[in-house]
Amino acid sequence: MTEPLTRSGLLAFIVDRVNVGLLVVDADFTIVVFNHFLEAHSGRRSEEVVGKNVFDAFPELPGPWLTRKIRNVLLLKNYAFTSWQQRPYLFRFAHHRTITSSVDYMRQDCTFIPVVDGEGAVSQVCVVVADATDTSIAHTELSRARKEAEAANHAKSEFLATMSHEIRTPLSGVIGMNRFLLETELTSEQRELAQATGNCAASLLLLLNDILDFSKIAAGMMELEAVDFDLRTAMEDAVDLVAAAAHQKGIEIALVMADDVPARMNGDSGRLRQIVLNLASNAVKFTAQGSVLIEVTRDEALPTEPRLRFSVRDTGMGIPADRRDRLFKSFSQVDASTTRTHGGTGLGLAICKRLAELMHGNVGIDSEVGVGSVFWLTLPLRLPTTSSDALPLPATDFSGLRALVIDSHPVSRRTLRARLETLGVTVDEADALDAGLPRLVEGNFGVCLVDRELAEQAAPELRLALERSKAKIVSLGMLGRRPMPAAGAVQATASLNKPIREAPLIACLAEAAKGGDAARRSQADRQSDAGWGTGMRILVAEDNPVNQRIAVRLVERFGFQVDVAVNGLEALAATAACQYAAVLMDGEMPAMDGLEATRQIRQRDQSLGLRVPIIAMTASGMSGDRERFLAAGMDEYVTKPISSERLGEILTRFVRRAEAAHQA
Amino acid sequence: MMADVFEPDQRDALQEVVNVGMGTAAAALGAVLESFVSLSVPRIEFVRLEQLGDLAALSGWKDDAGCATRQAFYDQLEGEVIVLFGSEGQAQLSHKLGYDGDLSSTGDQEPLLDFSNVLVGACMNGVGQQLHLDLSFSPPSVLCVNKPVATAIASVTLAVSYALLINVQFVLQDGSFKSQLLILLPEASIPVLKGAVERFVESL
Repeated sequence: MTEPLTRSGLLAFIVDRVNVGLLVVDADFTIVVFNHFLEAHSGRRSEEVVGKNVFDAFPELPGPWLTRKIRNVLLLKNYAFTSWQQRPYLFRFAHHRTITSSVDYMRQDCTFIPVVDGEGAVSQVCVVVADATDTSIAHTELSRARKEAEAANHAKSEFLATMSHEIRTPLSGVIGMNRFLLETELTSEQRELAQATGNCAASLLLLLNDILDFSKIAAGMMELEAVDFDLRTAMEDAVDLVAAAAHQKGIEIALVMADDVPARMNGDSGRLRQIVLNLASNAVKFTAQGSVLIEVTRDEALPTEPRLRFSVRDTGMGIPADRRDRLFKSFSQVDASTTRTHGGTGLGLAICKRLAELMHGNVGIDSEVGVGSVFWLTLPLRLPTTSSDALPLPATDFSGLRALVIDSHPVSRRTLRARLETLGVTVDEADALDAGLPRLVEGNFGVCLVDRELAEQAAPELRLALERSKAKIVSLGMLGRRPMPAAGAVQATASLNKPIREAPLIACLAEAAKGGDAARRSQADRQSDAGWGTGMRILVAEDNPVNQRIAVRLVERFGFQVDVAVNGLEALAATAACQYAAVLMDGEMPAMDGLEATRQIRQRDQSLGLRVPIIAMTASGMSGDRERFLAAGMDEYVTKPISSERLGEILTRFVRRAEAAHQA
Repeated sequence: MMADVFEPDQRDALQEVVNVGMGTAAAALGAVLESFVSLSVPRIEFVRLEQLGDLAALSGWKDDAGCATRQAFYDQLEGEVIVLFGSEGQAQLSHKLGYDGDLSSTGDQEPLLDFSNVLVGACMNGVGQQLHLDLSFSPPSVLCVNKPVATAIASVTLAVSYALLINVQFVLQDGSFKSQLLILLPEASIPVLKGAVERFVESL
């Protein structure tokens, strides 16, 4: 017949056999309780040590520290703790896994409990000793794994930097050479082949950029700029890049910026452009017919934080609800078959999402199957830090000017109307030439903006009537569609390319308001632009023969005479012998690299009071590069493949304006 | 919000209870540290915890390279205490606790945690005793060591959005060492606190 324990018997059993150490000492450090866990690990029997001073029984215990700890508990009547991370153990016990474990001793977490007697006084302390060895092993493993991950990440980012440079260099050569090839005399078959080559190379560059961007973001190495920039220009640039593709499919594309959107903001214009471009080109890709409208508005959802909302609205096939959340995840496209027809890495939207998040913004989509989709981006609005030093746009109040818009595309018509009305113009519209002409004849319009296709397809009488009207005729053409000058085509006095950029629109309206003839004048201007570098010399320092030829050809286009250097030493010598209008300096060259050459040139010329503009040509384009170049004494940089426009813009800035100032 | 939850009598009583509780704590701490210790008059207010990162600034904390620990209490009243430590005077305090090294050398965080535990235990028990609420404590843990305190606190994931904050400053002797206690009680604890304060008022 078994006899159950009494309550006190039960509690005593539990105290003795629980798998934590229980040590109770009184105020003079005499051991009162020493349970089985402690017996088993210390090899001392409870009868041996109970009644003894704890420091006499266990001389290896940390005397002063433990005394202090226990005294504080008695004084404050509050728990105290110690963790294995701060103090590995109180009692040095062997770890019980004597065969498989590599740990030599037990790690312990201890708790010191004030024992409150019947009268509420504390004269004893109970020390609980718990085995924390497994936690400590897991912790060590985790630390090691983390260090390994960090090292791997570091290696990855170094790989990224090297690859970025290595891959872009030959590819920029291919693209540049192909461009020049296309400008030579070619048979039509050769031209087709060369164009196809160029397209492939351009696609490859885009894919590579996507992959590199994605890796950069994943490695946490994407850094965003914070500079003041013109928002409208950035948006117009992005839309321009998509326009050709849109117009080839017969899709209208337009940009509308709300009135309360600021002209300038602070941020990373390149990345913003990248996101908007990605969303817009996506929209164009997946829209078979209709329109793509890009709108920029203020987002007032959060009154404390002004935000901008960029939305890309298309009339495409729409995206079913269950596929929407997958869109922004990497590698997913709505339908596997679309990858085959439309191509792409599937990374674009994922990159957009990450970039948006890095900017403290968000991306998303609203869609209706069969109607279309709106891809949107919201960003906190950061106002520019400095006031703009750009020349103000000419007067933008055209009240008193009446305009007639004749365009069969509703989105183009609506957006152009909105923009003209913002500028104070009174607008009338028509969707066809035969509807519009009567109005043109009756009304007193200062300017008539006609879609080029409509004008070209019109009957000869209509064309004549159009030309004879007193209004200034502006033909609106689609960028990317080569206008076929048909016999008897309308002689417009000016033309604007859709999507219509603000500055040319205003210039057109200004001429119309004045009654002047803008077209011929700008043509002459453009011609004189071509050779403005005549009479000046530029030095190109580049060791790679292909890139060297490309750079030389690009510079020659502006009329400059070009000298070459194949390394930093030659560049140093050349700049000493001749005063160049500017130097294009490659970063990596044998014998002496571009940065070092720049430093030395600056040092040498400082005493002479000279400063030749030095522009870096780089394949890398990683953040941090700009700072390095500027620190070495360079004035600006272009990334390869070098675009003629960018080079022109930079040379204008540093050479032409300097010349003009010098002559003034 | 204080006005919504606590009536004027209760508000005053709560302030009184906390004052007395801190007074007891100061005496006990003085005995432990064998030094003169002062605890400021506690400031009691409701705060939105999205501002937790601002909490340091809200309490007038200006030390950039400080330390912070946290410790939870539970049983009859639940909440957490965040303790901020200034960088000055840590060596003296460490010594008083029976340690050789600095309070916060990154290698050894024991003095930091020990002091934190002592401080929190004394203050919370002081208040608990006045309100006849039993409190148990979890072990303390480190939030940051010799880093900008506001940033470290801001990165903590929060479980609630509002809390009652009792803000107390601890000063050792001639002001050589300062520490700030931020006692946070979540919304769920307010009714308990209110009940205890009501009983306290009735017993007067």
